[in-house]
Amino acid sequence: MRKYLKRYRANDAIIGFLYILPYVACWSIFLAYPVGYGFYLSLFCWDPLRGSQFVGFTNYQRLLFDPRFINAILVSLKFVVMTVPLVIFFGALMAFGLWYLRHYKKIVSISQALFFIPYTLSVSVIAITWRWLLDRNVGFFQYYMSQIGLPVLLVDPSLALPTIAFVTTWWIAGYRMLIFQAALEDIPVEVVEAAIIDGASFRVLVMKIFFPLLKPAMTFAIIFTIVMAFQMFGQVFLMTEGGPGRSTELLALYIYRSAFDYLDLGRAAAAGFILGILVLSVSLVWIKKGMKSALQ
Amino acid sequence: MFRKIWLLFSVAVLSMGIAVMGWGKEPIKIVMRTLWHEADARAAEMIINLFNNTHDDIQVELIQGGWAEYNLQLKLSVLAGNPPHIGTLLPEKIVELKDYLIPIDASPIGNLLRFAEFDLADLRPLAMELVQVDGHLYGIPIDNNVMGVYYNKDIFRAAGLDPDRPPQTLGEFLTAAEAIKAAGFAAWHPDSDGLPRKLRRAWYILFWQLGGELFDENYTRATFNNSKGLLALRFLVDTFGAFGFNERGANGVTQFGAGLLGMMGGGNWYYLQFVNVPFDWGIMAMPSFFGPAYTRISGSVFVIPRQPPGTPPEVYEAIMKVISFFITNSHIWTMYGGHITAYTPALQHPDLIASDYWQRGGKFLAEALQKGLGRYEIVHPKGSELEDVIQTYIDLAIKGTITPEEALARAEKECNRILQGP
Amino acid sequence: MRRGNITYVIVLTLLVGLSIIWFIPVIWMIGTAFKPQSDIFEVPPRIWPKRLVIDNVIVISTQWPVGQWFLNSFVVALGTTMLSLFLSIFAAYAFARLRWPGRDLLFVCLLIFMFVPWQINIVPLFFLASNLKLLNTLPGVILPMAGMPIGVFLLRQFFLNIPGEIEDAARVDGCGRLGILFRIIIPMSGPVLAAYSLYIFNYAWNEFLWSLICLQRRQVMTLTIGLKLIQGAYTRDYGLVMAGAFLGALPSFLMFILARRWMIRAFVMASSVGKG
Repeated sequence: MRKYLKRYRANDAIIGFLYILPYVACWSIFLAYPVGYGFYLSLFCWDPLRGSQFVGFTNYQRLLFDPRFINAILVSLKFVVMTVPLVIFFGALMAFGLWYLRHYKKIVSISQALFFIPYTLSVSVIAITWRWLLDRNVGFFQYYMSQIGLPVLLVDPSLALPTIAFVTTWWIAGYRMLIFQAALEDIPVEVVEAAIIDGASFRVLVMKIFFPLLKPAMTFAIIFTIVMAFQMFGQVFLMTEGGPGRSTELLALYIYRSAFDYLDLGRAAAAGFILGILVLSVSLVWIKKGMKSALQ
Repeated sequence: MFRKIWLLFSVAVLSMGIAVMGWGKEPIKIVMRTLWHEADARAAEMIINLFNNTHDDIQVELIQGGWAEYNLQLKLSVLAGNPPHIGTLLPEKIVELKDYLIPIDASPIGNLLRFAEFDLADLRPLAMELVQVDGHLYGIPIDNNVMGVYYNKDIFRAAGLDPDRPPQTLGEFLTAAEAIKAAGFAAWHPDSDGLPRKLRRAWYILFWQLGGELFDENYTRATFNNSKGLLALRFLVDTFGAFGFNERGANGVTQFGAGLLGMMGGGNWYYLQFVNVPFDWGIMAMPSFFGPAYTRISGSVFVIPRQPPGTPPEVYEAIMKVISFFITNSHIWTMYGGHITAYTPALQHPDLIASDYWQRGGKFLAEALQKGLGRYEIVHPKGSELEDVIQTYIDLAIKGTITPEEALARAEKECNRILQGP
Repeated sequence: MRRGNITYVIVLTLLVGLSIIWFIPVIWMIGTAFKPQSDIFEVPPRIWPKRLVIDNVIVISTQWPVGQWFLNSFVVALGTTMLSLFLSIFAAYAFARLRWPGRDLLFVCLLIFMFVPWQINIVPLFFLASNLKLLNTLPGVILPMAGMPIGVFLLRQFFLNIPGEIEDAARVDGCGRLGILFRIIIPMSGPVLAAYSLYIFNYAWNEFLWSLICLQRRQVMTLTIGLKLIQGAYTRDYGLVMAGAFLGALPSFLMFILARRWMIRAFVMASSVGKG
């Protein structure tokens, strides 16, 4: 019996390698190698024609002492802190609402589509659309908002970033809604309805039933959204160019400018890695939670 | 028998001859990669199609677009060994990228100007300003684009102003602005949509008109934090503040398009944006606020990226032929793209003069250029970074978050730090 | 019971209201696509134009090879989805169920590398693609995206949650690893596969940065960057852009509708398997 199991285990290892090989081949060539090379680049002052100079961690040092870079980090953190809860909240709200009304199949179907469609649009389209909608003169939203005395959102240094957070939420909450909907499908409906009839309070329902079921999905959604939020820059690039002032200059925008405008690839790579470390550390909390439930 | 052999033999020779001639006639393929979009891209297509239809020996493949990432792509393609034959660059960027370009007067096969079918002297001096670096010619200028002023003639009439005599001096400008304001419209927007980049340009114009220089000769330090810079910035801030000519953060393009704005500063390319609006409008040159009526210009330049070694001389010759054709037909470029060609003879082409663009006021922009009233933005490898810094603080000052003095002080400090860095 | 009714009505109204408001920008976008040029700067602004014209759509489809772009986008999106599914399913199974040396270390590597942003990958990728002759080709865009670890994570997570007894039972019945994979795991993973396909299809369809650098010849461009070509550097013909965007969003939307139906069916299957 043991021999059989041993052979099976060795067999397992071989099969494991075979199964993993195609993916790892693709990944190492097209993802790992560029990242590694990028790290290598960040240690240089990139000048391919005249000879790049090895400068060690100078790029990183200069960045950490650059007030503009620090500002970009802060703006990105602010953006993530605003966007992620909004996205999760709206996604969960929509999912819950749709689940609650699941008997009205037609309405649920249409509502679901309406919430989801923004996600299918590309970033340049939503940026242009919203920029236009929030225009003081011809924007459907801003025009009427200004009529009743509300400030012009994109132009106000303290309101621009929250506005972008809202636009981002509008864009991507639909997909989180789907994730949560899938999780909610697992709810034992009869148990819930029995509980309602028995007079269980809303709070009990939420705590004892919905939360535990949504937890894994929520953890995943949170990590996912955090990673996305740190890497986004299309919206600010097209809607505000990082302004007013620098209030919407996200780190990803700074990296893009370093690479494409200043053509300083060493600095861009270093900034990219700092961003990577930042994202990793912020997500680590949630990953640990996720790993715990995964290993259960 | 012999006849058959003779027939076969002559057919063979004939077909070989035709084949050889056919091979000989294989056209040289030139790849032209531009950063143009929309209207200018369409204009370029027209010219290149004309070229391809009239030349059997050279065929041009035109690839267009990619304004934001163009410079990086050009660099990468040279490094990877597959660059386009002809590229286009902004003149301010030539200094940054010159190591990736072939000097036209010192190419691997000598001075390429001997293949040019136009006279270099016919190119506008203002356009030629930035293409000579370290004593070599790195590009052939195609055009200059100009910041002018779009004005709403209907609003002028409503305000009691003469629609055919738009303001050209500070006094006339202020009078006109006040009149428009009194008539209930927004009077003036210094630069199109009011994003930081545009506000920076508006400040440049005022500063230059006052005789200011942004940086010293060798770009060792900033020289704009002085009374001239301050006056220019205060004027700009007051435009949205004390003068009340417009609201802070206004988007001049949508305002003008909606018929709510009297005068809008903007580049010549906005002609196409406003072509279908339902009111009467015109274009005028930038007025003289504080001195000579300098305005901000840029342009497009044909460059030849470094070709892989072993590129045959015929290719270089073909490149120059394509460029020459484009230049000598550049009236088409101006008519459909809007930018003012650098080739002076083309400015007198009857088609161009009769076009709506020219009649509406494009000709005034060309006049300003011929008079030399254009200034380029920062010409330095770190130019983009410096400009990003400046525009941040100009924007904050105009939005009222910081004072003009503070804005200039901070901008100066950061610019100096960048200039002193590696 | 009465209390239940009122709650239902309230939630219903709120939800419907929210979804309509949510959709307004999209309605505006579609309206602009069919708006005549002269009405672009209309004040006061309207949601739906006074007149509808199809000029923009016509201009777009005649002046630019939109059909070709559409096809290219489709090839890229579908290709990425299928390749990614293929690679990820096998890889995820290997991570979830099989033991082999270095497994956990590799997994952590995948995790860590995922956090580095795309932008700095562009330059090394460019040289790599140039050397492999993948520039200006669609596979050049498909391959890097298929290598994204997100699929492996998702599927591995799901596979871990499938109870082991089912597999043991199958193995006792003489099923090989491959058979287990195809006959049990994959059918059970319906919802996750559908969700991931939707995500990766959408991602690949809208992918921008790398496509921009890699695809330069007009005929190989995808719709996303083709649309960018239509936008001017300074001016924007908004009507055209919106018309293009409208066309560009259709496939993702259709994919969503299809995937949605399949997801529901898969849910039903999954819940019956679980109960049985």
